[in-house]
Amino acid sequence: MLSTGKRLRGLAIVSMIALLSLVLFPAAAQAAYPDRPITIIVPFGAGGGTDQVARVLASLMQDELGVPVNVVNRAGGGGAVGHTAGATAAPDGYTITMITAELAMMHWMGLTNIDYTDFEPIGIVNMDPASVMVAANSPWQTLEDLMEDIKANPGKYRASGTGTGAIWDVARVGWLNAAGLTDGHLPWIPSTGAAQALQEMIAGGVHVVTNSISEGAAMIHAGTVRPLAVMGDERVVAFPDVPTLKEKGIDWSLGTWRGFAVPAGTPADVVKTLEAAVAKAVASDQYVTFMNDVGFGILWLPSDEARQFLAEQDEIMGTLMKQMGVAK
Amino acid sequence: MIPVSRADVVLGLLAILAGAAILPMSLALPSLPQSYAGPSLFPSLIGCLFILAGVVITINGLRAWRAEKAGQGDEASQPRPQFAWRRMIEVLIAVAVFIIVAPRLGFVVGGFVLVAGMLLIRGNRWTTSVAVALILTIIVRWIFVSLLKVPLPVGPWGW
Amino acid sequence: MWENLVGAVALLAQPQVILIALISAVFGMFMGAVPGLTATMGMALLVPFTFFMDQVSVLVAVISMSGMAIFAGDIPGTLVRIPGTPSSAAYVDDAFILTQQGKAARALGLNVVGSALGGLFGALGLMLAAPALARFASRFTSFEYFWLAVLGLSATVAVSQGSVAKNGLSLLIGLFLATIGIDITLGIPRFTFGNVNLLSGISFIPAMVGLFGVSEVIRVTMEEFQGKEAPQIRFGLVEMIRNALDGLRARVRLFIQSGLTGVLVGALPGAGADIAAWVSYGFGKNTAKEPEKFGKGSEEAIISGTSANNAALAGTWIPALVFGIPGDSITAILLGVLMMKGIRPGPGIFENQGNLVYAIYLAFILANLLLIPLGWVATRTGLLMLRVPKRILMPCILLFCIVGAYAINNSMFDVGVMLVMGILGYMLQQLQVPTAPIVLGLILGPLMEQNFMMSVIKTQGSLAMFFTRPISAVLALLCLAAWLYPLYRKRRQARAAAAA
Repeated sequence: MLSTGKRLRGLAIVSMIALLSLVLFPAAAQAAYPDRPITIIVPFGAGGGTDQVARVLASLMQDELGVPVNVVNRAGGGGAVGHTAGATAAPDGYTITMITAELAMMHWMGLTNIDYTDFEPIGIVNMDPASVMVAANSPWQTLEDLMEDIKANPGKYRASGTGTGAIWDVARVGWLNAAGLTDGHLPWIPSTGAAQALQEMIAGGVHVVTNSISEGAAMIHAGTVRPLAVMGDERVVAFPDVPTLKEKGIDWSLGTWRGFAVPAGTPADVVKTLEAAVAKAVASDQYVTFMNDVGFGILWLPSDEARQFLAEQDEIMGTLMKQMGVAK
Repeated sequence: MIPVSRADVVLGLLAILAGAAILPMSLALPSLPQSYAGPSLFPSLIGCLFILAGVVITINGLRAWRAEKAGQGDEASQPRPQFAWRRMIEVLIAVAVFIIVAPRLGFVVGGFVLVAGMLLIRGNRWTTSVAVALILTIIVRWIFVSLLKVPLPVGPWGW
Repeated sequence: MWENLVGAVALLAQPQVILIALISAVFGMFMGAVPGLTATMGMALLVPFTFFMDQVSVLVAVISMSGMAIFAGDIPGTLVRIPGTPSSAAYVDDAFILTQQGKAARALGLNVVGSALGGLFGALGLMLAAPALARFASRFTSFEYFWLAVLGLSATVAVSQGSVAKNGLSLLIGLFLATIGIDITLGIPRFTFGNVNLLSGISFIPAMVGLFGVSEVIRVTMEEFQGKEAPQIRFGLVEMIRNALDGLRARVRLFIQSGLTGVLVGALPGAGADIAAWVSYGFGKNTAKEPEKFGKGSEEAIISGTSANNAALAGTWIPALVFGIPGDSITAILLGVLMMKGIRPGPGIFENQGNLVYAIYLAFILANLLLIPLGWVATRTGLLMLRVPKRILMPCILLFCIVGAYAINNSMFDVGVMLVMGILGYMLQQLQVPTAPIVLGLILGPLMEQNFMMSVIKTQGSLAMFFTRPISAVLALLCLAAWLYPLYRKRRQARAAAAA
């Protein structure tokens, strides 16, 4: 046993080290890029769609960049936590964020101050349109069947897919508006996500689910869910039989998207290096096969186009969310 | 230390206080239009139940206290809650130091400081402490980062 | 059937498949035994490797990894009172108290054999009743899920020991912490005080590690040396199995009940092994021979939890295979992998891909049989920890607590959460307030609130559907029984005592 005096001395030394580290190492130093492992922040949990896309690309980028690329999940707050962590990281290219559609929504809801201007986009890698899905045992065979029924019985049927004011809720409102209906024709039941919403629909608790078609892929293949339409500009490769809303005369498209970005202020040459690596990864056979097999849509927008895309998305979301009354 | 019965009175009062703090904050949260449902409902209920539980615990505590005073129980033999303040503060400081050091100097340094510091405080020899702390941090880093690919904080030199 | 079975055996009986089963099991053991690393994380980390595996290897890897992880969560729980995964939290106090009584080997033996048999029971459920169970589960809407959550919460109301008010207070703390973060009905932040890290709420892994692990590090005094009664740490495989079977033989009914609960809860989409363990623990408390021992080192408590959570794993595959609906977070990731490997779930899978389905059955059997020898090795290794003096062991455990709390979200904020919960947990324990209900509240609180909100928004405020839907009504009655039965039993005991 040591005396109290000795123990206190140990404590004092430990505290000194803590203090010194505060003073001497405010941030990490660096050399030629990249010379150490890169971290990708995924603002959603392990195993979800965003996580899967990030992990596939991370393994491909690793070969391209020659340094380890690690995926780190910072889930929570509907993406706010991860996006904030990513935007406030050191702008040195060693912390990349997988940005998602939520980036264009959260700041309107007042959840965070972070918006697209806090990031320098590397590129957009994926786009999944929203869809209109119903239970396979429901009477609606086509989108027209469903729309007529909704028109004839406003407020009788219910839709779900996410929490109130989140992306699939916005998709529903945009769809109804474009078809000349109102929010109240097909009210929203908030749920925690695709799994819960689809389970509710199978069990008869809700009637329509507006999540991306990839989230329902397993159940569509199992014959328990029927997709009636997708809210994209073109049909989805994995489901070529499902028409778009535009084909049906409803001018509306919305989807969730994913991309990579670094904090604003990252050196341009670092962004160029990353852009080239991501571009190669996105074009690889492994990526294309994976995305098609799982039902994700591929969209590649390089840095410049991505910047413009982000601004457009931000505006669309802002307009709709203000109209829905969910924006602050 | 005071006997459990009197500590219970304090615990009960604290629970009432917590409920009294939660309730107004919860009621300030909005509800859905024309409905009792919404973000405010459950926290408000929880706040009320906090107060209820607090009242019950306080009353039980007071009852036991009175019974003790009436001489039914020997006060000295009552179990007394032991708060090891020193050990609490030791752990508090150790973890706080880790939270400060690890993001700046990496996991290996942060973990070493934490384990070595705790070992010293708990009365181990210098040599044992340093050796155990060094070996443990390096093994943990190896298992997590190299084997399981779970990232840990890195310092300016990559570990 | 026979040709399918033969086909499945041929698929599985390959050296590399067996090797993959072994490696995945060891991997799962790590993921489960280290607090903060979970079976779900193990599954996510497995995904990149599945790109290079064939169908059968993927199935074997996932089944073997997850089963081992859920079992391995018991090891640190039993030895140092830190559950390795949330699924082991329900009965951690019971297992740890047995360790304190010098019966660590017996508790761990029960964990190994109980888990393996529970897993086999689950596999049996999957084989015999998958389509029927899946149809049953597909009728669960928010009303039924709400009652399921209440039933789980009733596990703490059914206390036969300690103060009801103190148990309730502890549960309330958990329920309150669960309301922190973004609410789903309006998407507004609650109790976050402008802190971005709180938007995601209090993660229950750091909370659990703090409540159980850090509080234990604080509690153990410097003077406390082990070796007062040297724990038995050398025991043979056969001895372990024989002892555990002895313990189980007297409680066959409890085991079957727990296995059934596990499969049923597992088959419900969105409810996995952790919820199964709590619900089964609650049921166990109401039907056990010695309910007053629950929470105080009861073997019955360990059996009801440890067999239910492993049985639930097979249960989660049922809706995934039949309807493509994930039964828990592991099968959610799995479904994506299955589709990538050309396995299309659906009601027809049993006819169309018979060999593969039989391969899944066999993989479950193989994984759970492997669990016994591997579990034996793991527990023997784990028991060595008890040989280390506490004054050296405890600081090392603190490091593992920190790593676990950090790894789940890679966030130092969570390390802070762990610290606060550790100190809170320690103080509550000293005031004789049990801390396990806090974890229960954290796990089940969101399930209860969200499903309540969904339900009343669907019915525009009416509560009638909670009682008029058939399954919902049955669950409501079960909840009522769970609340009233302990009172009835207490009164009967009092009357019996008065008569005697």
